[in-house]
Amino acid sequence: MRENTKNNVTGSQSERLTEISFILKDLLKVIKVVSMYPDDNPLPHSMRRSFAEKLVDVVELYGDIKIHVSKDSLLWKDEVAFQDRSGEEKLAGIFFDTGITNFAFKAGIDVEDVYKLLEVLKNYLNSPQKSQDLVAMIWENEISRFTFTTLEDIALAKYEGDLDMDALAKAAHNENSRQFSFDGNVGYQDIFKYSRDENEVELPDDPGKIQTGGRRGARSADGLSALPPGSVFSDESADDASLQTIQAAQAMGFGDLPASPPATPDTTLILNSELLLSKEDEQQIATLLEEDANFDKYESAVQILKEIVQQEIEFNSFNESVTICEKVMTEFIEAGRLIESGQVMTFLQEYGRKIETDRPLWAERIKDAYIVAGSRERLAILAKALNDHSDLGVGIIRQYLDNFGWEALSGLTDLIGDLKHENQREALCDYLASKGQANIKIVSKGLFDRRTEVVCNSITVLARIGDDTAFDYLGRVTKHKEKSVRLQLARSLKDSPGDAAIGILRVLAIDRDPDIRKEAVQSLVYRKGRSAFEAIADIINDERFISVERSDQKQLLNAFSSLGGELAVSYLGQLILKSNPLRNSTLTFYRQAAFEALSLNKSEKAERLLVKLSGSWRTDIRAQAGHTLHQRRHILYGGEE
Amino acid sequence: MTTTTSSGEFRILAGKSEERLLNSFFVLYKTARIVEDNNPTFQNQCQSFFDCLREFVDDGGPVIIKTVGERYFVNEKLVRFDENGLSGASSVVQEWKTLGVGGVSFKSTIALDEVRKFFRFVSRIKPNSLNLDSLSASLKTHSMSEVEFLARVEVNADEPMIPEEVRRHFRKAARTTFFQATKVVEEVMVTTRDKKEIGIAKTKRVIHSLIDHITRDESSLIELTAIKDYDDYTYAHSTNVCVYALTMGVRLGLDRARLSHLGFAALFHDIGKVKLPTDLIRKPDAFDENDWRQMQQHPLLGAKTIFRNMKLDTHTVRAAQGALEHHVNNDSTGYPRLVYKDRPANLFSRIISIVDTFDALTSGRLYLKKSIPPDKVLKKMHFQMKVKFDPFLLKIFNGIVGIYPAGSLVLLSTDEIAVVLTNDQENPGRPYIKVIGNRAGLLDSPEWVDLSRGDQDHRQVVRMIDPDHYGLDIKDFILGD
Repeated sequence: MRENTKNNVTGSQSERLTEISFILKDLLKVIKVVSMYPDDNPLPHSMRRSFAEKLVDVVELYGDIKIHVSKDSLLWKDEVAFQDRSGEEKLAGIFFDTGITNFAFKAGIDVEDVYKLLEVLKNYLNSPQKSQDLVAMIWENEISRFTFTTLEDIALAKYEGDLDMDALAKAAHNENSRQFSFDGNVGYQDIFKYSRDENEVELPDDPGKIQTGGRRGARSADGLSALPPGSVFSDESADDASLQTIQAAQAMGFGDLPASPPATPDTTLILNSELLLSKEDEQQIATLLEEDANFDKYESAVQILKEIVQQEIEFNSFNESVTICEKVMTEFIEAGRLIESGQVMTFLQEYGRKIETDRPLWAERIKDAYIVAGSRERLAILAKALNDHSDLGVGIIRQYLDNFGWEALSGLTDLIGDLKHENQREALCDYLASKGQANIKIVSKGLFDRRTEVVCNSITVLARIGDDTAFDYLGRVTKHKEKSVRLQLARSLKDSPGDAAIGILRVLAIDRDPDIRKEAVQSLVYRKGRSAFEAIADIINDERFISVERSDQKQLLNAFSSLGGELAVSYLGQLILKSNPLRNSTLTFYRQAAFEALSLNKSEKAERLLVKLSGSWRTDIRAQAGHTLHQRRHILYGGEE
Repeated sequence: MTTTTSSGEFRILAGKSEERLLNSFFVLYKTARIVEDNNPTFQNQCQSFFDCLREFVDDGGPVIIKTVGERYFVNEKLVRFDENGLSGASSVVQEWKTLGVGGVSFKSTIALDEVRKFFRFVSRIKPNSLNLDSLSASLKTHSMSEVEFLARVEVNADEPMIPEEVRRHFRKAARTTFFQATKVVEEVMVTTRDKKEIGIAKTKRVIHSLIDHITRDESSLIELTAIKDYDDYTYAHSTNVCVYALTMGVRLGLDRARLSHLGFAALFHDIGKVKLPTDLIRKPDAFDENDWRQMQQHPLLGAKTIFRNMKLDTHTVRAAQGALEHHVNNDSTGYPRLVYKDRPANLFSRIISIVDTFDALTSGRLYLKKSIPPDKVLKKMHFQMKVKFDPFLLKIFNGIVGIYPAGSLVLLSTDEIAVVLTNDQENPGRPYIKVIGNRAGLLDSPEWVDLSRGDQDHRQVVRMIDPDHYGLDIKDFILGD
């Protein structure tokens, strides 16, 4: 590319092209750094300064630098001066995407201009989804020596053809023949009939004291000049149109407006000192401006929507207004403004309740809106917004979701899998758990969904609901073909209390997948009570127990011993005393595991067994029993024997 | 291009050649201070400046580069008057001020070597130790007879701040923007009728342009509001309201972002009318009760249209609010009767309410079917102050419209007819005008006159003229230059 460029331009142009290419590369670097680093970091400051100085120098040397923007490159005098490498390394794309077709660093650009430009670009790039209007931002910042053209400017320039200003002006000039001749009674010369001699107005030094010339006639009571009879501006000229005007003016609230053509202006009014701004007025205006500076587009939009809905007196129009509310609520969500979207929804609900009796059809329309708000399509937008706005916290989400009825529960269950941020998922699950108890059938529908993530979400919610009905549903998932679903079940039940959860974990502890077994075992071994003991005993007695990881088997045996007390001792004794002449490693493991489990057993029976075994003729058993006895007493009595 | 505006100082607007020369001059001036004599950049720039200079020396006269006030001139042609600065000029001009220098004159016979020599000379100037006389003497000592420093000229207080040629340039650009805005309104309204989603980028750009014009010279746009002769006045009315609202916004000191919002809201305040029957909008007769009932729906329809057809952002919310509230009075009467009465109408709605009423009544093309003179409309609006309009904002509007609104036709004591171009707030009875005719008929070449100047005492405004009444079309006089 560079070779081609060199061939196409003259020597000095080639140098300039190289220089401009460097500038543009630097611009991209600086934009990236400035956008990435916080304001208090010295790096962006120094880079910004050196770039600005360099750019100013180059413009000073070469004059205006005009750059044409194409999709992925920037051209200077038809030569590529910068080429975007990728989505991350794009400079042309920034301008192209915003409709800028060319830009120029103009002669006289100074460091401040460059700083402003970089600040604007930083704010633009850091806005969510680059949602801000770069063109407007540049214009608003008055970067006077950075000029640009947009697609819109080109489109607007096309109107100039339509307008044909030159032709219009020329036609206007030609039409103004110097000798006027009218068919009507009033002509050009009539303009001068009441000129200087009769109608002259002398503006006094004191604007408050307007004087009229002696020959001009007396001023009438309302301050208007009483012109001579037959004046082109006298009230006698009022015709039918004037009467209509008066009628219309009355309808507009300007009842007594005269429909006469302009005469001597009523300067008393215009120059009246009462109508000039006083210091107090200026203060009032400052207050008005301050209030306006707090304008919040979202808050105002909510107010306007409320107003619109309540203005309606006819159903079709009302229906349209509700549709508009739906559209704007979606836009609120897209912008991450759940509170405002919720406010509109709450308003609609309340309004619906208010008109339910008198206007059932209208109330029905509002209910529809309410249902549509919880539809999967709308919830997908909500999911995207939540993913885009990690700052939307639990409180806001809960507040928003509280607007939904049971109709949305199904869709909301699906939503959990789509959320990226943990805290937001938690908030949603909490909501579903709290609302789902009365509607468990709806929430549980997700368990039978073919989408794994939806099943997982439903499991989470049902586990949080945690009643018998919920566990009934969860019990059916233990046989789910997808590992991730069973794993989610094991994880969700980790903190679920109650026997029903233990029953499900018992099944999962001997699952065919090691991860799930481990999760279930981990969840079981820390539980207390007889149900847990029985569940563990069942697992140990199951022929698949042997497939459980040895570390987990150990934990299960420990829990079995700890929870079972006396009831566990016999089984553990059997494991120890099982004959193992060939020193089978499995049997050796179980013997060791049983001894370890006994060390945790607080029953007298365990003590007695260990004492007895410590006198065994089998030296290995005797030694292990002695060691375990010692260990057990240490655990139980804190080292005292 | 000639003009009668002044003492002959600022007569002609410079072209590209002058701009190039001036730029080249200041760039070289600064470069000379940074680099050595043999630096190629310096050499190239000397050559470049010399080439520019040669374009001007054909007629044998000198080439004069000078500054007066904040303006730059090449051979009396104004080069720089807007914010696009010349490279490095400000620091040089600052230095000139200290030295008492107002410019430089190059003789037509100057050679390239002498150009180089001159810029080497200026690179060594120490502002604190020299003045104009010592500089001139020094030039002679260095045998530079082809160049001369000029004394600094103080700005004459009587001199109009903007010369007529520049004003004309502004006006031409302003007209284009004005009609672009009107076309955009029409386009948006037509698209809205088809219930299509509307992008607002183009509208924003045209509003930016309107704001730029108003900030620079508000009268260039306000005079266009006097044109009422359109097939469908709704669109032009929207632009007029936008221009007046923006002028108020500028006077209020709104920042550019808020001005943009205000302009947008003003431009689409009547967008709800597209939902009304065309017959009603174009009805030649006065409205009956039923017509009014329909018409009073347009604020609500407007707010709905904006929300439905445009993407939610500050511009559109402001516009929806302006559309909904622009017929709500200061005391919350008017229409629609708002449910939330405790909420005062928004600042923008109040502004739009004032300017909309003014333009509607003075046009005679909307609700009323005959125009009412601006002063009478203003008078009535002032009587209705506090009830209908915000009194403070109305006072500001009063200052904009003044006695003779820009674009109105007036008769002078000299039996001349003139179009008012600029309404001077300080001297409202003595506007800046364009004389277009006299008893003998319309002039071939109009004359621009600033009545506030001391030498214009013989000319006084006698009264306003209703162009319709005399079969005159104000458009011809406003657009006719």
